[in-house]
Amino acid sequence: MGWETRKGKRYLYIKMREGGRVVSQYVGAASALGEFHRGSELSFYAARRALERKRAAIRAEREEMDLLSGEVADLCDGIDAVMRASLLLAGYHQHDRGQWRKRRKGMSDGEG
Amino acid sequence: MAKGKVIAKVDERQTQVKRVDSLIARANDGDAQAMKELRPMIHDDPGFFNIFGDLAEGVRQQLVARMTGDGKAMLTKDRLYVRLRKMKADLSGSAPTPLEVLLVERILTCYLEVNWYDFLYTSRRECTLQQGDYYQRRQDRAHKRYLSAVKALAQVRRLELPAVQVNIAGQQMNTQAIITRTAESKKTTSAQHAD
Repeated sequence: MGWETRKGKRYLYIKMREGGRVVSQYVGAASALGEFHRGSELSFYAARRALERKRAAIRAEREEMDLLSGEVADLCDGIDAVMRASLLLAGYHQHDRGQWRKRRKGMSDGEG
Repeated sequence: MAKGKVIAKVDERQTQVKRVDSLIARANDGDAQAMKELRPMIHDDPGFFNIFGDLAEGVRQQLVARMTGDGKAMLTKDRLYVRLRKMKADLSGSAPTPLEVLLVERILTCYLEVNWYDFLYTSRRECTLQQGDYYQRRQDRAHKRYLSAVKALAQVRRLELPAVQVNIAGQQMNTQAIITRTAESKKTTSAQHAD
């Protein structure tokens, strides 16, 4: 087990023997593991599990935020469309994507 | 409801909104045919309005559940609903048009979203600079949506838009009656002035 420095950052790797050769398994970055690491060698595994749990929780929270914000955005777009349609049908028009102004000569579809 | 059905419903809603958006763009440019197509969708199709009324209620319930669940309640559920009801009454006024009701629904939902992000951001005991930035961007977007919602209601009120007939959250609001009442009241007022 050892720390390796790559591009100026420290990462923890575990060296293991698999089928007669040594392989290194990534554990985590020093910055991320620091908050979980308590000094003993065994705690590195616990640290990694805790880190994975934390990352999964953040991912889940972000997915939840995406979903709900998407719903709110859809709602806003939809209601905005209803509002603009109602304004048009009431004889207004939107000037240059900004102000709503009353049409001077009411555009008619024959019913309004 | 099955996930597939929910996706189909969302797709259907988005398709409808896209269609209305394209009609609005054409109508705004003076296309009478687009206006002709738009009129029945807004005036005669209660389903189109129901979608947004139901959606607003559903999203608000989800947001309230997130804010009050898991023992991390910022406010209790009841207090939150009381506050929403009070806001709704204050914003709606005495005789809101159906469009105003819909815009108030939008404001309430956006208000909850802003509060949810504030709650998430402040309840984080520790977060990296990157995570903090992420929450900040979310807050900003939610706040922008909230301000747009408030602006939309103010705009409609300022223009004194005539009412349209819609169904919101299963409650049919016959605005023709409102129009008639308004017309009658105007007649009475002008008759009184004439006298």
